[in-house]
Amino acid sequence: MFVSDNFVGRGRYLSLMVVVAGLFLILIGRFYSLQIHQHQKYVSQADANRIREVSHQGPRGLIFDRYGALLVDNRFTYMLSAIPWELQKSPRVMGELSQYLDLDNQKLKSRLKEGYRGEFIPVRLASGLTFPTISRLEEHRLELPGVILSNDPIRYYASGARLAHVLGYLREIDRRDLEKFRRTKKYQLGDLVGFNGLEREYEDILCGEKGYRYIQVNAIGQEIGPVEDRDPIQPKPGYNLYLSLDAQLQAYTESQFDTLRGSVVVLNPNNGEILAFVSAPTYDLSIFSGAIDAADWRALEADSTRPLFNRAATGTYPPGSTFKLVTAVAALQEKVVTPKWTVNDPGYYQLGRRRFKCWKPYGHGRVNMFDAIEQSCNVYFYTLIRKVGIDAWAKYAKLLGFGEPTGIDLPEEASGIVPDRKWMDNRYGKGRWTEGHLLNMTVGQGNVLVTPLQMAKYVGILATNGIVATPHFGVAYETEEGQLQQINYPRHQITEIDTSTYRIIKEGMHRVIYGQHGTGWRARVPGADMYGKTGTAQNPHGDDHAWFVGAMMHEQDTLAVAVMVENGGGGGHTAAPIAGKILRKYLQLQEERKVEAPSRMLSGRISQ
Amino acid sequence: MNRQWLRKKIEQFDWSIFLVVIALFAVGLIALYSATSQGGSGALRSNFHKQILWGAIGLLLLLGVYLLEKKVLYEWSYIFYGIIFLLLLVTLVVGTGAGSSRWLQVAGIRIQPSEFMKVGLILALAKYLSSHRLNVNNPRILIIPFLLTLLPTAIVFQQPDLGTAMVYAAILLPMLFWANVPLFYLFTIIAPVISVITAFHFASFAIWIGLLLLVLYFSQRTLLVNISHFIGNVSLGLVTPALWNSLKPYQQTRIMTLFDMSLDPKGSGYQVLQSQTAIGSGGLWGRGLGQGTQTHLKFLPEQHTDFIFSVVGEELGFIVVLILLLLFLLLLIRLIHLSSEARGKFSGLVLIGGAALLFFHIYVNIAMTAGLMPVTGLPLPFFSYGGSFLIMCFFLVGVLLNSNSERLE
Repeated sequence: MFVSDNFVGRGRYLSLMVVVAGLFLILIGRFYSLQIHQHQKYVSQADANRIREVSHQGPRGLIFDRYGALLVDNRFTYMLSAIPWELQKSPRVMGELSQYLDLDNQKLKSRLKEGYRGEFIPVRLASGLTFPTISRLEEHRLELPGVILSNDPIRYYASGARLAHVLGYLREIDRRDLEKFRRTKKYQLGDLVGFNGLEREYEDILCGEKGYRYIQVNAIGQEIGPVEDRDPIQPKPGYNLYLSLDAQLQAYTESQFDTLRGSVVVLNPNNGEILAFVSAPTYDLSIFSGAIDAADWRALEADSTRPLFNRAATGTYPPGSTFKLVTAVAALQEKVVTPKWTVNDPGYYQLGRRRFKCWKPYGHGRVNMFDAIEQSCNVYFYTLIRKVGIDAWAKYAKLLGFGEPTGIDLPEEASGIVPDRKWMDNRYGKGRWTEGHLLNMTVGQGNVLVTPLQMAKYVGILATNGIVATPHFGVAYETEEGQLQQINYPRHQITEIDTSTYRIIKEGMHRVIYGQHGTGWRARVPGADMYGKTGTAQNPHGDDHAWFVGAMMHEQDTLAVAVMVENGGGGGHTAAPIAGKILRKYLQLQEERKVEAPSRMLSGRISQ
Repeated sequence: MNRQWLRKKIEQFDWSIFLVVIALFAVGLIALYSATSQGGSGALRSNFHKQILWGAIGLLLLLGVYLLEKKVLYEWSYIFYGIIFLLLLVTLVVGTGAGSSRWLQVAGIRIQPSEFMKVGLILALAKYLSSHRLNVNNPRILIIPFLLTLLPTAIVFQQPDLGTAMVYAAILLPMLFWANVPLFYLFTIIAPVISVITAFHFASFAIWIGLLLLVLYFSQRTLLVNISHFIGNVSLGLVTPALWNSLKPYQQTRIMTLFDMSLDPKGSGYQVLQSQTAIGSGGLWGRGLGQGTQTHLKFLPEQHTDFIFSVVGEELGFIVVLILLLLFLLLLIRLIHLSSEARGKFSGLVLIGGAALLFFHIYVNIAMTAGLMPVTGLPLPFFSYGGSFLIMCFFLVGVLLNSNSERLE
């Protein structure tokens, strides 16, 4: 029936077979390559698809003062986060949340937008929720899809001291920092990281190690459940940090500045440990724990008294007469004059056609170096600086720590300015500046700028006959084994200045406090030996800044103190009494502690 | 239909083909079970049950067709072709489907006439090419097969369904080849297509034209034929880019989307990557049924239709993949072999046409999942979910088994 014969040439038959078999061989080879040869590559690719690594930071290290008093604690607080994708799906949730949280809907929306990191990554919307709010939210939980309540640690400031500028605060890591830390792979966007102060400086010690959970996600990024074949990694808590600060002294010192603007630094010049460090006005660190509102932040930033600004370490001021000691050191060490050399002060110093006045209208009469320091005679130092010259003066100013950072363990500090010949040439042009500038500089005016911290270090060097110890807060940290590991800082002795020079300077400083005409008598501390120098620095923006720098010798202790009150008027009148009060408080606290428990002292427990 | 005839029919039943098909369908159901098991959504699971139902219908159809007398197929082939063609025309007018009109709704059942057209085309071509009076050396005999193929192709191209259109072309060429049509004619058919494709790349086009000249030189045809071939192809290659550039951008995109059937917004590159990842992560033994993360977390797209073989690769591993590839190969080789041994040209041509159809679907689909070929949206026989396609496959196997029977008549 079937018409023509089915005849196919052998060639056509075979070639068809070969083509089909050959093509299938290619297919088999391809599957071999994918499934056997490149198997591992595709397994990790499949895992990268499905596994989301969720990290959580371990509890951050606590911070204690030198006597073991808790300064910074972790406390748990209720936070509310929400998954953007879910909120988008049911927009009514936003409105209900704003009702339960008693927060403006618009505010919630802006928080959601600011914190957005991905469709399925929760955004923190509120923290510090009260118990009634929590219970109300729990009650309506089923009607609030995508809303997550969590109990997270935040920083809690446990002591009476505020310490805002010292401790610093945490903030969600920004992209710039992320780039910086990328090498360590420790952080990811949204992690809290020390943003400034000691929290930043000792980030590595405090932060601990992150823990990880592995969550299975599907193709659109929804969480399905835990990954069964991968165990979570537990986080490690950060190390506790011990500071040199004396929380009680700090709190007292802060209280002295309730209505004032200015700085105080109290430190032990032998080892650089800072006992009190104040920059006023200050702010409340607790507003930064948890989610900070952009509005709160802007209010702080817009405050004209600049509470966020760390005056003690980054504020630069003219030092006024406290700087006269630099000229005295230079003159003595360079053997320009002896302390017995005298100058007659008629109340002014005539340089060419300009008359430089002494602060005392009719002058101090004939004064030697001791008298000049005691009474802070300008004319004596005008005369002396012309003999010393800018080069020697600048050399000793730098030796005494000016014009460079002190090396304090804070992320930021200012260098100040020591105008040497090169600086002046740059500023005014070669030969365009005069001896008049020099006269201003010797009394701590003109282009000289210092930080209160540098002043404390400076007076400490003078008090210890040339020990330069880096000022610092961090003393030790507690390792996992509970051992205290000391933190070390550079310390050296100035070799260019003789002990005899310090002795003469200190004699002058002693007379500032105890001399008949001494300007610093208000800083006297019963039971201790005081040395000091006052300063009243003119500034173009308002009233004079009041300065007092001093050193207290008591038994084996030496403390250096620098007090600066912005627009406070006379240093002897405003700054010296504050220094006196702080140091008297210190001695009082020491007496109390002798009675209480000396064993709590940190120094006994540190291992090198 | 006497008893003896029935016994003979049963004796001549080719069990090897039948069992291979059943085995493939069984593994396909296992893969489909896994691909439809997630999310707890009943809709997907019902797909699995529907596939079983369609498989059963297909098997009945297979046996029914097999039991037909062979001459019924021969005699009804043009009529069958004609009916399906009319259905295709109707689909074009009243068809349904997302963005395209491929389905015909009849009493709540949606069928895809273009799938059955594949069988209709095989039968019609086989009938024409097996004719006594055919002188294969006369190029005029190509006209009817061309028309038979081109008409349905033009319609499915409108739907638009480039994949199916390509299947029609893939049926025609091997059947002409099997009908002993001179190779030069086949070359004449393929040459313009190559000219158009290579036209966009100068070096490729130059190499192609060189090849063309070589073939023409050895073809032993008249100078006139050779010259017209050369001029035709070269001018086609020159005109194509100009023609393409004269199209409006939206027209260009429309044509481009024809070649990329993916509906996924992330693009077919994403689909292939996920498919390769699924297959590669399966390894030698696979991740275990229901354990494939690519499949069950939905990273693998179209996993119950076009990318069902990737599910097999991920969950059952290379060993099973290898066995399946060998089964597919066995099926094809067996069909080619039976085709060469078939009694009567009609049966041989039906068998080779069916082999070509199956080969094209199998190869293009599996190569696509492995990233060897572009995403065309061709389903995998006996595996991919889809009623019309599955029933057509079983129906086709019935036709093929039938063609192999009644050898000793």
